[in-house]
Amino acid sequence: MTTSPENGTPLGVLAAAYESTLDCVHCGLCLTACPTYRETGRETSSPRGRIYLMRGVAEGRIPLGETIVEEAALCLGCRACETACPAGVPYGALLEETRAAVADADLRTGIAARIERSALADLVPHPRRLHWAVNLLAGAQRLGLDRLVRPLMPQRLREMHALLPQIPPSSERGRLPAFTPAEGPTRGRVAVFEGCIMPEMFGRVNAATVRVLAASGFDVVVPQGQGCCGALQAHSGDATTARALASRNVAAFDPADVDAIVVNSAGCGAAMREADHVLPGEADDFARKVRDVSEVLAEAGLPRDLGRVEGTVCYDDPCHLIHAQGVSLPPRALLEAIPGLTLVAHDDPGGCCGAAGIYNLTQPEMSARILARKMDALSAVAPDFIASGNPGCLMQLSTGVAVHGLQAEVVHPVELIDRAIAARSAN
Amino acid sequence: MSSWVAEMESILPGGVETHAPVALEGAKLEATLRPESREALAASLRVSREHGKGLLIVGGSTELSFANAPCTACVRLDTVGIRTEREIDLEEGVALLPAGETVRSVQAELAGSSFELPFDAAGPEATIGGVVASARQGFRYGPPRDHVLGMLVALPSGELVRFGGRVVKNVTGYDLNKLFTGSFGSLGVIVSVWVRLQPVPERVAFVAAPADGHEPAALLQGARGASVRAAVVASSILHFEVAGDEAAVEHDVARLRTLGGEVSSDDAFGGLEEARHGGPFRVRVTGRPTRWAEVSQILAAGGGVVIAEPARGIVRGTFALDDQDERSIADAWNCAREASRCAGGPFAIEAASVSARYGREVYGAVGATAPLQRAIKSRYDPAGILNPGRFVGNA
Amino acid sequence: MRLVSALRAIVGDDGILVRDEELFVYEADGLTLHRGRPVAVVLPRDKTEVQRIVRSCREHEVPFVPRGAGTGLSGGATAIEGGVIIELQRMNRIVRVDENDRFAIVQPGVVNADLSKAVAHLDLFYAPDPSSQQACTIGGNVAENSGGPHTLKYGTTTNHILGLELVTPDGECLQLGSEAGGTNGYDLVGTVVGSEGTLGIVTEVTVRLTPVPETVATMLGIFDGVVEACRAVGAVIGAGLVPAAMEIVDQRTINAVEDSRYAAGLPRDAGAILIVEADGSSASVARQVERIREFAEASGARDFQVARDEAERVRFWRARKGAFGAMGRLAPDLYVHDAVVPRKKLPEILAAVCEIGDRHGLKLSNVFHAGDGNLHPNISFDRRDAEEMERVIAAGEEILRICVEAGGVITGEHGVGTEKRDYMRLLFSEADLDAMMKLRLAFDPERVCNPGKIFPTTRFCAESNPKARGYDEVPIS
Repeated sequence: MTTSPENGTPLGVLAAAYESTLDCVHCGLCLTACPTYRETGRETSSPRGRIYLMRGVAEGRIPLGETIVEEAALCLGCRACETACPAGVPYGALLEETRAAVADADLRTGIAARIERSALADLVPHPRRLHWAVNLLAGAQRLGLDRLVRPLMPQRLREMHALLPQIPPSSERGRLPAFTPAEGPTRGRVAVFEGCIMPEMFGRVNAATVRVLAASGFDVVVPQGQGCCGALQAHSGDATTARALASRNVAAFDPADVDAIVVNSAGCGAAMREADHVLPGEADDFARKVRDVSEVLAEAGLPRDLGRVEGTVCYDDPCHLIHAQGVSLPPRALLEAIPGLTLVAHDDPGGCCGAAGIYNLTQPEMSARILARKMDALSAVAPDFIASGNPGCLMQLSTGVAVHGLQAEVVHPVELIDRAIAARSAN
Repeated sequence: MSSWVAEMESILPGGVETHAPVALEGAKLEATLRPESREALAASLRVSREHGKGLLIVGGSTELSFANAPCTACVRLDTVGIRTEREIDLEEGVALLPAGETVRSVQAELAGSSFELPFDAAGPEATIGGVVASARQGFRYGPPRDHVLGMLVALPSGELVRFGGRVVKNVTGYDLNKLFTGSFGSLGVIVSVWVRLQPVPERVAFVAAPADGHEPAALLQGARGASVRAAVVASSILHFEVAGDEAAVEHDVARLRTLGGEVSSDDAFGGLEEARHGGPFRVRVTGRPTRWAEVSQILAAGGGVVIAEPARGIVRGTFALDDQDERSIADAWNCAREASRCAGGPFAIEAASVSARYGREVYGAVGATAPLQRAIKSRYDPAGILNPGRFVGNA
Repeated sequence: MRLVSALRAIVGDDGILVRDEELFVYEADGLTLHRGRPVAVVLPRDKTEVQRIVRSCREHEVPFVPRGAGTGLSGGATAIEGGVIIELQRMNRIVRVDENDRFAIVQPGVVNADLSKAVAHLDLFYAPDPSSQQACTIGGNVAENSGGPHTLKYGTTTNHILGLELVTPDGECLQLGSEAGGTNGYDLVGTVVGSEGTLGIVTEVTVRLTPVPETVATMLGIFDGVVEACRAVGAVIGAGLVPAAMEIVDQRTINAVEDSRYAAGLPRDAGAILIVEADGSSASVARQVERIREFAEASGARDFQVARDEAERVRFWRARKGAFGAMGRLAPDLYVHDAVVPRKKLPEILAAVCEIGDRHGLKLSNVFHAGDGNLHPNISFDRRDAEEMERVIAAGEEILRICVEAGGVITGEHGVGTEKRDYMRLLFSEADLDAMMKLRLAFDPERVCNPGKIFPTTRFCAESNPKARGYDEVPIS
């Protein structure tokens, strides 16, 4: 496998990623953008270091060994490095290829990796199975059964369990109506993406998204047959499942029928925007139509007669919105437009909160350190609300608020808009 | 006399003068060397080293009473006549100046051009080499280290070495300019210096304000104006020099008026420089700017006449004491040490008679860096012939 | 290995890296031309650990190399002769900020931009602003005496360091300078700044903080040629104006930027653009802008604009700041050169630099700190192509030679490191180098602290065999 490292003929694994690793000019401007580098101070745990490892593996100078396996898992995939990179290295894509290589070589062992793989391949993509599993968990939480069996769980599973959020009541866990007409004159027609976890854990956000879009003058359709976007699978190295899931959604949505495919989960939106990378030639129109809900609303403008929502709010950028999609101003503009609400800045809003998909389950220690840094920044401002547009971030920030004793309510920005709309009659 | 004189005369024809012992700064000097070229200078250092002759290096002799006394020197080395390349480049705003040339003459030559030499001289005799070797800092231009770009230096090994250069930004090798600036000739003899000239300000205004009746913090604030080039408190009057473009000067002068400042046409700083240069016993305390008033008080309470530069955190006290009275010298020294503690920075005796300096470290507490400083000295001057006894720890 | 267990006992399992693959990642800093693998990397948390690490290395007769963010461009943080890398990233606390006396005491791992950010609410900033400021550390800046675009007015790192805490190569901890600056004896602070980590390991830095100017104006002048742009710079400085920054970007860079994602809508047919920044009170800035405009127009500027808002200011700077990334995209590797010439020689040197690049068939473009005469020719290349590598190195050497012949020097802000150690003789005699070595030996008689930097390794600088300079691969153990 090994070839002369500098002769330009890499033959090792990661050969597909090789060309992109060459875009890195080793300047190091990404270092401080990287949460794991900031925590560890290790070059190996930085984007530049990881790219160097990838290049080294591709050139056959180092083996696909322990270090790169650990680092591929320790990386949050937040892609803050892409924002910082002057040379435009597609780090997210490199990471996915590395994780796929690690998965192919079957190098990740341990119970966490096994659970992660089976949950992502066999549970999350299947709405009915997921719904049933969440029901089971909700019941267990209600009866306290989960705590009963906890001592029987292996240590890692116990740690993962400790991070599981409280399941919302079943009334909030419904699917969305297939069509909701615009209120007043119609501005356009949009399709809403429901997601896999969103209906189960954040049905209230999905419902609010539809209400806010309709109130802002959009006919809202929710196409049948859609499902999980495949982002988590792609991030964990399961490219096959990711491709199949992307394909299902491309089939479910008709880009020609709508002005935009609206996503309220930043992680899903990022993956769907890049669907044309996963399905070359098949998803161009689909990918072009994908927009974050904040972009669509900010562009259209909110209803004029919004009611008041009193308090201060910190907006925390989901990595997959600011770094992967380059969207940071629209959500802020929307929050600022709500009467009574004051948007206050906190230090490092663009830094990862440590959720990163299921990172908080697979890397609980690093996740907690990164979350602590975020919570320190938020505590210093002590807002009434913390707003962020991604389910993983919302769960992680809620955990953070509870553990670090903040008084803030963690919400999706559309929830605050929904409240302002609901408060209209009070004016 | 001995063989070294003959050897020296062969190197410096007509440049060696032997004489009856002359007492200077604690040293008994039996000869004076006047090299006329840098090569002759370098060779004379080598010969001095071979014969173990301690040299007292002088330029304009204006700062001889600063630093420890070079008690064991026996030969005077006069640097004023050394010829070397010289260049004033008014396009670039840089100049290569012979060490023996006086600051005054360079300033005169530059008069009318768009640049000035940013050295505050102690008097008409002060030389470029002397200002740099003693790191003499006046009121106007700040420390020489900020303006020195390069140097040509003769070492006791007889070698001529160069560091830095004519360009204004340079990190090629160690910054030995910093090491040699302020080293009082203890490491090598400066032959010439590349200096970054300073643009002549479009306008200069002098403002004087009463120092009494203002909070020290307010005066410090005034002294920190962006275009305030010099700010000195002496005899309860705060003197400012404001320099820059018209608008910037106007802006700062307006601010100083709120301190009761009045624009005056005359430059008080010349007189202040003279006053500052007084003796017989003068100490300089460098410290935190916000402490300037307290430090001034301590020095005044100890009997010193105080001149303070609030923005730079420099306070000088001149004590009119009897320099034969050990007790009053000790009191003044202790007063300086106390002021230095309050200032949070170092102090130095800038002027004192040899007897007042004898047995005292003029740099106050050198502390833990003394062995390192000695190691540096012995690397450059292993035989200890350059200004012996003059630097830290009488090295 | 006994050293490794000794180090592990000092910093703990979490603070040491010894796996081959981990050490592989540490084989280069921002300069990938030169590589060297350390035997271990340690990440101390305080000065006591640094002292113990240094003593341990001495005991085992292993050299050590201090490292910050590894963004340096001269190989200063590379373990070119092996040894232990002492990575100071975890010492990243701002210990104290004194608003009234305008200084801060920081650990060496504090990131340059973070320091300015942390004191911004006091209307203060840390003035030296190397282009890598978002990642590079204060410790690294001290080692390299880093500059940046705004050194024209504010000076380089050395003008902003009041005091240092230094762990010497024998493990002693010394306080140099003070919170107030000033020295008692030799200017050891000024001597250590810029010594490229060869005189000891800095464990704490007292920096001067500067008041944020009331107003800043950013100007963009567009010229038909570099000669005209340089003329404008000369006229401004000759008139005694001291703008905060004066940067020139040449036509090749403009085109590379316009072809990249940093496209700023600059005219591709412009021979050069000049970015000028002036700061001060608003009245003074208004006047400076008018005078600079006059000089620019008199020198032949075909367009001159003043940024109206932050967005425009960012756009003006994009051509300068995007140059690195834009050139980096053209090939796998980027060599950022650094040399200084007398400012008036810039036009002829620039023409010569371009000619050298063309003659060697290289992708070369120029950005430079025009006010300081500090050139940065950027060469895009592919280090896997041995033949191209030789051309890159040969062109680099030629560039340095013409700069020295013009009265310039071989580095203005990146340092010598390993990159230029064998070109030191272009500028210095044996006696000059020996005078520098004396300083080195006073601090570090055994030469164990960051060995292989600054001083030439070859007897004659004319040797052009790249292998002789250590450009070849260090084999995997």
